[in-house]
Amino acid sequence: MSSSPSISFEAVYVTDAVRLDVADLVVSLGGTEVLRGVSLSAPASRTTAVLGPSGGGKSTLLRAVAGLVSPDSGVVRLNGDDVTTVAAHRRGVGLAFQDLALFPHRDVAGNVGFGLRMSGVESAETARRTAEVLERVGLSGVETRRVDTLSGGEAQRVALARALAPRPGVLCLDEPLAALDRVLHDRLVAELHGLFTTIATTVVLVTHDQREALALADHLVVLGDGRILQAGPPQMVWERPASEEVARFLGHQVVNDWRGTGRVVLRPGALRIVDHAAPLRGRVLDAVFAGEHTTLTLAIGEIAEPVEVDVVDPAALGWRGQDVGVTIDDERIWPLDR
Amino acid sequence: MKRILALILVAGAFIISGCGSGVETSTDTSNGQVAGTTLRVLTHDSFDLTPEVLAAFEEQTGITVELIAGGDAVAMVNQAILTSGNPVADVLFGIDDNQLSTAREEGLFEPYVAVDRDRIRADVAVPAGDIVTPVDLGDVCVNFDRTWFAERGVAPPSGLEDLADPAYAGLLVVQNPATSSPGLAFLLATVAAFGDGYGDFWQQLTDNGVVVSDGWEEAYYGEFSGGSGEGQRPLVVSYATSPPAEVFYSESYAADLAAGTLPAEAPTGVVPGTCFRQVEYAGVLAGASNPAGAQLFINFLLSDSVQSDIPLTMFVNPVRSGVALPEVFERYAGSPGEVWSLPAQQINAARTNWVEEWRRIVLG
Amino acid sequence: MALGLVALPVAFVGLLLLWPLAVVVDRALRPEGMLDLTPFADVAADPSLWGVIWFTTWQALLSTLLTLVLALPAAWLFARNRFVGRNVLWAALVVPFVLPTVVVAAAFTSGPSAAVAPRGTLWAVLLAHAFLNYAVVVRIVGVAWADLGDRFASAAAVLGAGRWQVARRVTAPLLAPSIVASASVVYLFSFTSFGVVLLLGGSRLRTIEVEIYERVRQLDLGTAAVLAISQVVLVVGLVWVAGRWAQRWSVALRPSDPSPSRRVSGARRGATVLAVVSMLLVIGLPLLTLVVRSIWGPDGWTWSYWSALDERRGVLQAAPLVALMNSLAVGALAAVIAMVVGGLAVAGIVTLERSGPAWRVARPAAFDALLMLPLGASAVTVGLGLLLAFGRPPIDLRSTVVLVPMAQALVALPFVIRVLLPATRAVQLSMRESAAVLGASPWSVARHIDLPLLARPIAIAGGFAFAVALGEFGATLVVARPNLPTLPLTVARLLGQPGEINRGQAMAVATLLMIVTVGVVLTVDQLRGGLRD
Repeated sequence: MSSSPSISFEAVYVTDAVRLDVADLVVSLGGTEVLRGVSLSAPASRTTAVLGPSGGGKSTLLRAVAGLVSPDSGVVRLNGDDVTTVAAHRRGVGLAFQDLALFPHRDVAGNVGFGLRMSGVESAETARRTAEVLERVGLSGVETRRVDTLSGGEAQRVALARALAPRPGVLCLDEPLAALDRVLHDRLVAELHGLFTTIATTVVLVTHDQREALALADHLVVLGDGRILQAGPPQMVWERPASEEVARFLGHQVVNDWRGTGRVVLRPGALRIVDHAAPLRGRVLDAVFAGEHTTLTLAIGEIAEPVEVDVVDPAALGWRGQDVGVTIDDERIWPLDR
Repeated sequence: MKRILALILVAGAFIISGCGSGVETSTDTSNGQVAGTTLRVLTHDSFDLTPEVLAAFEEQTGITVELIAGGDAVAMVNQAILTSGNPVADVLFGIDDNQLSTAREEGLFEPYVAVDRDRIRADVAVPAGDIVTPVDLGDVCVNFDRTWFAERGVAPPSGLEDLADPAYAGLLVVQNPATSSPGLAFLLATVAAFGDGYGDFWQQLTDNGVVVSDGWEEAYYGEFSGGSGEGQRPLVVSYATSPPAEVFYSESYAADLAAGTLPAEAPTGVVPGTCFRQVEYAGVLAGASNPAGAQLFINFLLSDSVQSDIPLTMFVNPVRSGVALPEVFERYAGSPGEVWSLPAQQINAARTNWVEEWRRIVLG
Repeated sequence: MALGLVALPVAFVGLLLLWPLAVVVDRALRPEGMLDLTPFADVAADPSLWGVIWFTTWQALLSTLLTLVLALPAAWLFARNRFVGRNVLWAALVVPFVLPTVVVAAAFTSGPSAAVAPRGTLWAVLLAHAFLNYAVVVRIVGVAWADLGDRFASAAAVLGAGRWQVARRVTAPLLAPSIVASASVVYLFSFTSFGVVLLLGGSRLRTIEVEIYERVRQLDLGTAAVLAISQVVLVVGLVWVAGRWAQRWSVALRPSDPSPSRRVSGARRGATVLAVVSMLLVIGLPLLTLVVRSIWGPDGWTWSYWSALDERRGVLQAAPLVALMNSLAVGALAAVIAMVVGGLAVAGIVTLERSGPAWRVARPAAFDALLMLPLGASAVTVGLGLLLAFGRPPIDLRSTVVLVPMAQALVALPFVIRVLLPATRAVQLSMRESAAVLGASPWSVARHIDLPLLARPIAIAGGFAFAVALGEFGATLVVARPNLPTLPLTVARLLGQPGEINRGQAMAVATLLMIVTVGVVLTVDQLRGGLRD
């Protein structure tokens, strides 16, 4: 294998733009309602990220879109056509599984070319397109490798290539990067972003990692406990979370009683430490080193609960027990109780 | 299958060779309407004919013969009884007196006797109503291991009563009459010999350490010490033809025959007065789809060619008079003494009770 | 669709098993067109029959436990070690299956086993059951064990589990489904055991099946039918319970890294010795007895029993080699039928289990139990039923050649299902779903995903099916059959006459059957690596 694979950004093909709509989807598994009336729209040629906690129904949503589970009620539409009852293998929706599910009895080419073979593409053409899509995910020349000899990153790329190869109208990715180490994860996020931009396929990506979701999504959907909690452009959701639940998924702090105005969301940068005398003072209860910044836990007199503030200055580690000045950026504070 | 079919030869009483040679077989027929038909013959698993003999019949008549194996004799006849009126075959071969009455009550057979019925030896009767034709006969007898008795200087038993003698304690192996044809035949021998006293006799045998097995193979090969047996006990219920079979199927038979060094006597012998006669019959099954062919086949079974074939294929005695016996029969068959038999009706009426009683006494 | 898949297997079992059984029961309990239930009362009032039922139940339990104790070390040996002759031995374990019962009995009554467990003793029956069923446990559990690999044990060891704790808390629970699966087959086999008990039980030890056989011989159909019904009820209950257990415990495992085996060494020596000794005593000695008998005559070593195998002699209908070819052909046909029917059944059951909560527990388990019936139903009764049920035009199949492989396939079916079902359940759902979203139709998924992933269990099941058919386990099922000389029939005929040639040749034929079986099973295994290396 090449020691540093990377995804090619050249536009090799562009699929026909397909818009996905899901309306009032209800799915029960083992007697429990996993999706309780989910409606969402994934715009054509854009990446939609579904963010939510584990067990929130994200995977089930993808499986319903792909046709692997039959909903109790609700509709799945592709470009307006109702495909709810169309079998998975005729639906033209690609899905890459969280556990990859590479076929152990086939080599890399056998895996990647599987979908092409199933749609009757002749073998020479299959080989050509397999090589092409492998190159696109940065894995040239691994066609004859056994899949159980691949590294984690390579396996991930093969799974992606396999899902891409048949050029599905909608490509669903279930936690595509969950099993990777941080460095590889971050690199692949960047590569995927470039890939999604160039192939212009409709992508639906499910993740529990808000950074991944924000980085990749054109459209962000937050799913919790079987319901859509919020949907919209990533920046809008980030800045104006619709509920405490959404705010917490995004990693924001929620303060229950903010200076008498009720609950608010504190986005990063809402509070800043200043060394000059500021009207607002806080006592440093704890200081935790996190590399690029240090996280301070502050008790601020007029706020009932401790709040966290990130400080770039490494000297902050020595501030435990001291009082510091705090300024507030109201732009980064979002009230929940309006 | 476990049956050996029996038979025995009572050699002494049965030397009728020579006369009547040149009798024509009766199977030839000008009856062309059977040609091209198929005839199904239900037999027990031990049935056998030399292929050439059967092929000659097929060629002569134009009939194709399909053999159907039905398990051992009891199982086979039971099948025929349970399917009576809608038979699995046209001809049944291998029923004996034990089940003949039941078969008669069930209307199993379309009465027919082979055309050569007057050639049947005098001591074998065609059953009343002419429902079936006798084909072969054999005697079930207690066999003894000559070597065992000779080595110990003990005289082998000389009759049924001796088997209960403490001098022969722990030496006898019998088969369960509920699961084995020879086992049932031997039980019938004791009934024939002792009448109502058979129960007491079996009590004595039990006290004397009789060993029971469910099948003939286990008894003969597993428990019996004589001949090809590999057990420890020198007395076993088997057939009167077992001693000649021991010689015929010995490893060195062919060589000894060629060299003229055949042994003077078989390694095993027959205890006189312990034999029960079994005659095997063949009949046309009621409801047969090819009754004409069936009759021809029964004629064929009584023909010279079959009668002289069966001694060495099934180790039974022919019932046709004048059929020459193979030398190995003549020479090695033991003397059975008095041969027991019972009327078929009596067997049928009381067999189940006898077996139940036997089980109660012997198996407890 | 799932229902469609199980329709053929259900029809197969229904037509060849339930209907014949029903015909016998009908005939026995409605002799004059009037329902007559007195046989039930008669059986209930007969203490000796209760004794038979009780004996059947506990001897089967003891047989199962003994088989597990003797065979589990060998399962471990094959699963976790590499040694010379491993593949041949693995194949040879199946031999007891194919041997005609008379030969098994001969091995146990004339060999060294006779000294330990003479005919007529409980030990003789238990040991013979262990001998016959050894391969069931070794093969089913062994494969699961090999797939388990070292991962979980290592994980547990790192968590501070000692060797025994690993065995008890990790290995045993993960192996439980396969152990339960094999144990239930062994139990059923021992429960319905017929030939072995008849020949080794010495008339006093009787299972329900032996009792049925004796009753049928006396044309006491009433008692036979009542006993047959009792047997089916007991068996169905048992299978149902075992099925629910197995399902509860079934864990989807991914085959582990392909190098679980290592050379036998060091601390493993104890377990190895145990496994080798058990194999030698349970399987090796009886088989060796047969081999020796085939070349040992009254005057010492001889090849004369072997030299005439291509000739038809007096007592035989065909040369043993011809009979061998017949057996192979019928066995192969039966194996194919069993694999097709069993494969459909497993596909249907798994699909049902995955299709929703309503189907999840009760109904697949019911299908499972129904399809296990061929092991539990009275073969004697079913055989009789086939005779009575298939005699009406237009389907008078009674004497046709098709009934033999069909009946054998019927008996092989439970083995096929027992082997394939856990393996199929363990195939990751996401594999199939991946294929589906890549455009593979259900048929393509079966062909391109399930079949290759299940190649090993399929080979194992096929080998079992073939072996079962070769041994004519189904022969007692079909009472009337065309006079097609097969190897078991040849052995029976040889042993039906006195004489050392007959006995010696029977042993030679049995040995030949062994060799051919090992060859065939080895080939089937090699088609797709019977054991992971």
